[in-house]
Amino acid sequence: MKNQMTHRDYELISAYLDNQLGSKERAQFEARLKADPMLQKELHEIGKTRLLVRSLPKLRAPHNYFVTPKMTSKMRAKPVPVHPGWRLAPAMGIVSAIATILLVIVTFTGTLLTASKPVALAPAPVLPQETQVVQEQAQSKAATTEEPTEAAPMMMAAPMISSPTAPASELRIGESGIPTPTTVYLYVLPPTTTLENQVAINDQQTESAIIACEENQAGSAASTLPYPYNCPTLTSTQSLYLESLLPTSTPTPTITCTPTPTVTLPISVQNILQTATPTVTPSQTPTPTATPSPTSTPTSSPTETPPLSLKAAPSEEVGSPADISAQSQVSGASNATPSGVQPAGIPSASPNIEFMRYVLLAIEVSLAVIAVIAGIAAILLRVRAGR
Amino acid sequence: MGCLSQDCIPLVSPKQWFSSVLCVKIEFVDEIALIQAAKGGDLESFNRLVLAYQDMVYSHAYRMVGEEESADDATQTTFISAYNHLNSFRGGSFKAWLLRIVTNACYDELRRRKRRPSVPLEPLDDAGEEVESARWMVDPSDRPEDKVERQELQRAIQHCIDNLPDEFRSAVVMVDVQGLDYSEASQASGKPIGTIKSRLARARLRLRDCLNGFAELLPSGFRLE
Repeated sequence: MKNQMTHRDYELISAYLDNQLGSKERAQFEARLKADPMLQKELHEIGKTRLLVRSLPKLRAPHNYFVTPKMTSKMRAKPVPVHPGWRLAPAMGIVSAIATILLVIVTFTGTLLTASKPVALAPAPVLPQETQVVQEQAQSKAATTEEPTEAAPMMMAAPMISSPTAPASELRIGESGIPTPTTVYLYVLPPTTTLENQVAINDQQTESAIIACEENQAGSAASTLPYPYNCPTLTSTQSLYLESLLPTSTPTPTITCTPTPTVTLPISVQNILQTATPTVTPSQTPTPTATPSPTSTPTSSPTETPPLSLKAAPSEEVGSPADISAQSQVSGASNATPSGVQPAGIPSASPNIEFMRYVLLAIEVSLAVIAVIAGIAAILLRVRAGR
Repeated sequence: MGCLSQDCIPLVSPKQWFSSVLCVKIEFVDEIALIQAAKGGDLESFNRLVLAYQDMVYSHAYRMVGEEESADDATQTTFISAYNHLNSFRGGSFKAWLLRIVTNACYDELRRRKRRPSVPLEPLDDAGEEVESARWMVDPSDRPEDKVERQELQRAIQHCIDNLPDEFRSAVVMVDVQGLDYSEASQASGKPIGTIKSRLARARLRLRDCLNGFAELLPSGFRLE
């Protein structure tokens, strides 16, 4: 029988005895009480128990419990217990402040990195007007001279690698009797005329540039140039960087001369080279090509030692000058873009910088989140502690 | 609890309802004034409050811990703590606030006892087990029969209260011994009313079962079946 009573029933009985039921609950309970003798019995027993407990006498204090100043001073000397969570408020504030300071530092550092990062080791964007001015100056200067010289070269070596002072790690030619090829990257300005005219202009410019470079290298025709033209000798660092830009180039430090070095140049350039001082360059291509190029042994004579290896484009052999011009134009136009967008054919020159930017961005976001959360927590804990 | 003020109208005549209400009002106002004065550091004002509530506090402590010495310590600790933390009292029932303090003091005393168990009140038989019978509580002193029976019954009830869990004991002492309603008990214990209601029902059920073991001590009208 007792098993039929639930804890809820005893709660109702207790609340009914204490007159803590609402009118509706009380009516329902009384209706149920009339129909359930077991409930009546339990109500009777719980009621008697309640009366027994309430029959306990009120005790009188055995003495007065007056509080004296001595008692209060003793009790107040005890440290007041502080909620453990409230102690975290200063720590949270410190964490928030540190995170904010770090956020400012990281943001400033990231700004500096972004501002000082090299976009590409390409020539600075040369405005066409400047080029035209240079060209006009070159033409006017050439006109004053008696010798029929070529027009001022439009094709220029990258100014970044044309350092006037030879670095310590400069690749020296012919030290060990083995010709060391030096790579010069030529950049072409964006086309200002039609493609055919530009091809012709590029051929002439390539020719004049090669001649100028070689003459300048030989120190013989420097006076014929309208302005000092640098045939740069690449440093190892520059060479490595430029080699990294080329998808098909082989590492420079392990240059091996093939028995039959070839010059892979456009036909127009090759013709010019044939008429001019032959510049023989050992090619880095593993397989000799069948192109009609002048070949010779690198150690034939000191003058024939190839000082330079001209590459009009960062690719292997090109079938026609038009192709090379077009490719050069694309490459030059891309490199001359002020926004610094890398061309699609050239791999990203600064993957590490991009990665660093993402890392810095992630750190900044993390620090901001930490600063905000810690600050809010510190404020909430401080408010709760103040209550 | 009597009137705290000398100007209070004594409740000598139950017919004068207005006088009783006036006494309560004067007492309430006087209590508030005493509390405010005690908050300002007036120890004498606080001791007047002690004088008004010490019986209630001591009775509650004794019902909670079941020992005079422990109840005495808990009562003294309660008033000292109340004076030191009087600024945390933000109105409401001062009685419930005091009961909360004394309840916590009793919990501390009960926890201390559990850490350092003392000799049980129940005597041991030859086998070393506690004697469940209440005959050992019979006072051998020569007293009138009714007084003896009454004291035995009180001891039996207190014994059953002592056997309750602390939370159940607190609920039943507040409601049935101190006469608080559910909301006051909720305020004094810091628990919701539903919790008080549930604990009280369970406590009464256990008390009923416990008191069945003392049927011979119970008055005829209170015999449980």
